[in-house]
Amino acid sequence: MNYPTLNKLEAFTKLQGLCVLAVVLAAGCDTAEPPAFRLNMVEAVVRETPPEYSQEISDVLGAMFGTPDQPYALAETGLDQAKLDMAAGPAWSDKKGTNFGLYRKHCVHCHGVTGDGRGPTARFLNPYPRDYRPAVYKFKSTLNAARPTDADLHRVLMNGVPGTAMPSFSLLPGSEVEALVEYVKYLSIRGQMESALHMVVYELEEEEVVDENGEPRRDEAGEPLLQRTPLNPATYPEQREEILSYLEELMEGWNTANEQIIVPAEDQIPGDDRLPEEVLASAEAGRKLFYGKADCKKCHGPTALGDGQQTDYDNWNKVHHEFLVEIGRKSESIVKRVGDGELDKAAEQQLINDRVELARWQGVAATLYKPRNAIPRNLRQGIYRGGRRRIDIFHRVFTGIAGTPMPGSGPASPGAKGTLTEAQMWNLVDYVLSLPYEPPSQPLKALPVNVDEVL
Amino acid sequence: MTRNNEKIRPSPWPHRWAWLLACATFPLIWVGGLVTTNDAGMAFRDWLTSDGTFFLFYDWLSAAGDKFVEHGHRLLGALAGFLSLGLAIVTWRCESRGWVRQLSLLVLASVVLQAVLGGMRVVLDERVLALIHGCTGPLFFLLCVMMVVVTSRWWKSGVTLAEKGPAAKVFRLAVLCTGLAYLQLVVGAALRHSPRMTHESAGGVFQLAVYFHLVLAALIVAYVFLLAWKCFRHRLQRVTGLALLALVAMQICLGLGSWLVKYGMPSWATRLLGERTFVNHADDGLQAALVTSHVATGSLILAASLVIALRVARQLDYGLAKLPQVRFGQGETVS
Amino acid sequence: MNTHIILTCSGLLVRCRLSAAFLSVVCFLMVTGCQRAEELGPVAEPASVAEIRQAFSSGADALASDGAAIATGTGWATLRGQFVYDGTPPQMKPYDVRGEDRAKCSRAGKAPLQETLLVDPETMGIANVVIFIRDAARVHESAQPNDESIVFDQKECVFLTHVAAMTVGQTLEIKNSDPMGHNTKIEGRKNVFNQSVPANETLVFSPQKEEPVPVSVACSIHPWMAAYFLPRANGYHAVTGADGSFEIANVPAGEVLEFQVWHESVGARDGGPLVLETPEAKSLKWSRKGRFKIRLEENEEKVLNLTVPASALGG
Repeated sequence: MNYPTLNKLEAFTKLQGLCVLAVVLAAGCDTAEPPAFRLNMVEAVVRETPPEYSQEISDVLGAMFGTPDQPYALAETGLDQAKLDMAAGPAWSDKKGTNFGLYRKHCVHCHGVTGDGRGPTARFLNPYPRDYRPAVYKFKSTLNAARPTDADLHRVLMNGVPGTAMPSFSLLPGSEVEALVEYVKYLSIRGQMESALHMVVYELEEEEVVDENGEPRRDEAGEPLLQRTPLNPATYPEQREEILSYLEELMEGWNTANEQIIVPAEDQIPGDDRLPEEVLASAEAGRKLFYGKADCKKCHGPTALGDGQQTDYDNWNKVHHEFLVEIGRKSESIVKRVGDGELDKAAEQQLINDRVELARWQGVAATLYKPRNAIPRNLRQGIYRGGRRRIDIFHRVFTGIAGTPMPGSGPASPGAKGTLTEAQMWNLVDYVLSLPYEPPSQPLKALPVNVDEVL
Repeated sequence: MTRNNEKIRPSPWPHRWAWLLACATFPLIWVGGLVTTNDAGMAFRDWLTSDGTFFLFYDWLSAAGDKFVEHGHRLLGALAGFLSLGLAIVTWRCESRGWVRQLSLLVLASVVLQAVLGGMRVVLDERVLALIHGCTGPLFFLLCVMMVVVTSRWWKSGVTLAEKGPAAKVFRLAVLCTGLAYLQLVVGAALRHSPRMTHESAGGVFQLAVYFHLVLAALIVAYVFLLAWKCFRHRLQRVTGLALLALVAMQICLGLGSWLVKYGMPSWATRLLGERTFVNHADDGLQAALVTSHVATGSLILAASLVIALRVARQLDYGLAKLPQVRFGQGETVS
Repeated sequence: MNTHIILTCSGLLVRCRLSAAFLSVVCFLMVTGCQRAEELGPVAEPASVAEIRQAFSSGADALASDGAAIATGTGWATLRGQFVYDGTPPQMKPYDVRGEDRAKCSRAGKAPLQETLLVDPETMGIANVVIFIRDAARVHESAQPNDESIVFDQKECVFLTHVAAMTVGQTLEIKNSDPMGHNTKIEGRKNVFNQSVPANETLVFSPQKEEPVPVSVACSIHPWMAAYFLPRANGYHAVTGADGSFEIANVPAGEVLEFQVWHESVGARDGGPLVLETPEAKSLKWSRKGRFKIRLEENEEKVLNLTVPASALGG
């Protein structure tokens, strides 16, 4: 008997077997090398750090921060090594049931090994997962320019971010959440340090070439020959000092975060015992500000549906957007010059160099995701990514949202002049919290009818 | 089919054992899925022993969290192993058909292989092996289901159909669905394991897996719909056909739900439907239930389409004695 | 029936192709994925890591920190000059003005022109070149931080000061002369600010730290608006005027001063160091980082007239 179908089936089974094998082999390199921290190549290319420095920057970072499997924290960072060890490495549990490798277990699939927000699933998520490296966090209780406090990071982990893929980790034991907070800070500090190392490299002067007697070599004109100074804090103590001073400076930002918490004036905070009419009046005042002085309508739209100014980018996307725009500009310029023809020798050399440079840029661009616009929040849905408590909304209004187009209305630093008074900001908070209950069909007329339910 | 079936009164025991084994294997599959969901595969870093204790003597009920899930999987695996052994013994004693006996040996060999694969995943701490282990698990489940089907009284007393035309088409369609469902399972395994891989290509594998998963889902829906329709129309395996259709419908919902509770809404969906109002909770019951049910239903779909294929083949009198040999007699070196 | 056969066949074909495609893509990944991805940059090498870590963990007293430059001279001098464009002055494109404020952000119905590279057609001077001393050992009284404030106005959705250089300690008066609201967003390395500025109102911002290069100022409501902002620790900085001229008075004489020159149209984003390779730049040993060193005698009034070829400004 002949079984054409079965023969086919077998062929398919074989093919599928091959597929599985291929997946295995593809992923097989997974085990060949332990995961490694990667450099921010966009920054390296945009800052025009010579490519020869990449390896050295990577080495210095490796010395200061270790690897994803073996994190290391200099004493200057004040990070808790025990917590880092708990959060880093592959996922496993010891005999007592303590879990290790928490970051790899809970975070890495979105935020990536390096904390660059580019884990395997990141491309599919909206918004893209946070890139920790610039150490800018949106939802915090501190001033716009300040770092978040540990409590802020802890709160985001516990509450998640509504409306996004970021889940709540409230089911994890407290010690595990704390370890994750520490590890997130560690990745941020590492990212900031990477940025700082580009500055260190930028500041490096070329050094003189010396012969075996320690005498500087000279060219025909008698000028000393110069060469690239390597970045190596082990051989150049002054580089070490400079790196440490950068570290100290950025750590100051983290260590003083608690001093930069926005504390609303006690007498301005609306009580919980307000009458519905008072709340209505406050929300009405907020509505006037929304369309008037505070100008929220510009971005959140005249209907507050988030349909105002939608073409801007947040910092993270803006970097990539501008990077891609610049690539377009570069290739345009090359095309134009090729089209012009008749190049002298220097111009031709320049063209070749520019092409090499462009190829490098395009290589980096191939690893990027499509930049997305920062869409202002639709305030009628009642989804507040940074938390729905009145104080959370107040913080957003007061200082804006760091890294995004959202500006603040309060003073940018203690003692400075704010756009609005605190009482006005509380009015806005009342209005924003009443918006989900206002019929969007008549946004300018309707009054918040269900305000007392919100509060 | 009136060979020598009537001469020996067939024993019901192989069929009963096969049912028992299939019923033990199904939870084994979804507990395995739960292990992946919780990333509990490395809850113990040793195998055959759990934290140094031989795994059968490990105090499972005092374990918590990942260790409970992972060790539960190990125990269920052991149970499936013992049941497979029992099945092989019973089949050799009570079954007259040689290929069924061989099949029972194959079941036994597979369970051992599968266990070793799982063990190596732990010993080598190798996620790729976990992926393969996840792909071969349903194959073992298929073997168990096959045992159930071929040892059944219905099979032994099978009636061949007079009109074979439509049934042959149903058979081909069922085989196709089985193949697609299995491919979908492999892609699904890649989709679940690649996010936790740390190599740079993991993102690419995940992306590819997502797209394939969607394309295959569309194909499966179309073909299963067709299969169910044919089954219904030609009065062939109507119950299983309808069950398959229902399972696929459920599976689509479970799949969407799994994505939603894990990765939220994609941007295009947000634009269409607005944002979700709830927050996901990592490792909560909803996530575990949805994702794990999705895995379990995948195996059931696979099993249901195989059942249709086998039973229609039986009705078509497709050289039944040879059928398993064609499939397993060639590449098989174990038995 | 026919449809069924077609579907089945196409299904088989599709599957064949799908599997093949899957296989080939996976093979591709296998080949490319296993290679070290160049565009992801190198990873740390354990040997150097160990050596450098040793250096970091050993005592910090290996080097007496010299900190600021050491004063060697006395008296004061003045540096002035002009940046002259060599080439055809570029035509600036209009800003991409969009949104509901289109009318209010236009002049006589036209969008305002960009100010990336402004060349005065008469003198060929380049406006908005920033020049500052990187590290001064001595600072003259007149260059010390003072409490004057700098008005930073915006009208018709254009920042009226395109490059605002100031001394830390001064305040920036962010003014809005438009009938609609703006917000002013400064994204510096050390100075971050984002506050809404209502119509016809003024805010103040006091930068606390100096920036090594000018940083961008933007308005999120009108994303085309662009300006730059540079706070420095002392007053030794200048932004060229419309005719390309600048003057930095009372710089310390008798010591080597390192100047940094910056322009917006250099580099990828937010400007970059202006690198000159002209003979006069060579005589100043102009570096790849847009820096040159100079030593002035007491009471000297040095004039630097620098020609900037179009290619140096990305042209």
